[in-house]
Amino acid sequence: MLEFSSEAAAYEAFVTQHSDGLPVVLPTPERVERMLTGTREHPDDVVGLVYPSGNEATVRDVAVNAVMAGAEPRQLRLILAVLDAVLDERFNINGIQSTTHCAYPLVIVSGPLAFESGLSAGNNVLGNGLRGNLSVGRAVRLVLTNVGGGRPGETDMAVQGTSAKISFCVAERLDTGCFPSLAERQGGDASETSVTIMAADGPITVSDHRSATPERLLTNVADTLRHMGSLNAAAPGPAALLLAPQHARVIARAGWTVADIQRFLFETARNPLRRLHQGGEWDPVEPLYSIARFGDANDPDTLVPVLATPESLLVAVTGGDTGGFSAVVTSWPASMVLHRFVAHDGSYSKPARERIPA
Amino acid sequence: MIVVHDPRGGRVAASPTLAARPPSLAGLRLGILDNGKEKADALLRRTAELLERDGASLTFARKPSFSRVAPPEAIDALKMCDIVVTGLGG
Repeated sequence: MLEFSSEAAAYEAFVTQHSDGLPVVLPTPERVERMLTGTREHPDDVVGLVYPSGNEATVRDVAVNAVMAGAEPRQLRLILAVLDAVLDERFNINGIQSTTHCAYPLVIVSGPLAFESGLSAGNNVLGNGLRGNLSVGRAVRLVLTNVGGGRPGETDMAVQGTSAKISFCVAERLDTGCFPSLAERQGGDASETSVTIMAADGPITVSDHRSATPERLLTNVADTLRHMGSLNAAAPGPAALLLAPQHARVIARAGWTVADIQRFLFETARNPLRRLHQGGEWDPVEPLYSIARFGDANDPDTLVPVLATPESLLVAVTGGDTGGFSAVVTSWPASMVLHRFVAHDGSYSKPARERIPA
Repeated sequence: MIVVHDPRGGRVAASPTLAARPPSLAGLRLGILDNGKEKADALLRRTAELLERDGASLTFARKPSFSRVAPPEAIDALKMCDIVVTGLGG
């Protein structure tokens, strides 16, 4: 506990020393106790070690930072599940926190618990005004800052960062009828909710109000995905396509599935070696992968994908019904996409294939 | 007066401390950790050359990815050293 002579003094100390730069709600014992009603996990349970500091984050520590972020108790279960994945060694939060790149966890919440927890998948889903989305993303940010010690210019060496580092959390639309939800595609049923994380660049908008076929629309998406400034161009990896409902309908009406989208973009979001020689991060001396997987390494027309596999593309329908604007999110390569299922009672679990049999 | 929770958490990892500066390099084992970024090896190898002139013996380790922690075998090799120098390329 910290003691201050006045609320004003506490507020000043928190905003200057324990914040993402924005005002925070002071984590009084009463507020933290109320936040902890949002989970059945024990307050002293350890969620994980947060690097670069290596300090432990307990459920209570997460609740404290969730209060500061402006979150509601019903959002704590999502925040805890996201952090369980973020602090998984394979996600490499140490690298993400300290890299010169702008990487930050993109969070996709898929399933009914998103809406029961006050999140939104509607208009401006990546922008301002949606308290639930922003609070979940920001609570993760504050745990990384306060428990993990990620401080700009000291341990966080991001050259420019991205505004997505303050909060980067979307819910998936479940009402368009276009495709099974991401949680269902991960092996859950329609009543289950998952949180999925990817070490991400900031989002890039894909505008398209003219395409009436999946091929035309996704050719536009492919061109955005393969841009030379992304590290995906130098090392095939994961990426996310946050599909506007209007775009999803164009694709679904033609009978295409998510697997069709993934396959099409794996095949078309590619750069010829001649282009990779012209610019970007691709290293012809020490490439980060074997060109031979994709063709003749000496042929300038050999096409190199930006996705490691078709399944490396996360696809989620999200946003309002007011137009044709999707978003492409490319990734930071020294990490991996992870997800967790979240139960109504606030418990969370790894996907079935990661669970150790009893 | 107001009491609030400390957002940094209760259980804090021990902070690493820097070893005392050795008075001489003669006979010491010098470890170099190259973080794997561009030109880090050029800078560090030149540094090592200068330090070897002062009598240190060299162990050189390189991170295969500058975005990840050093592999256990590199850490094990550096544990055997008396002093370790590292630096960023890029």
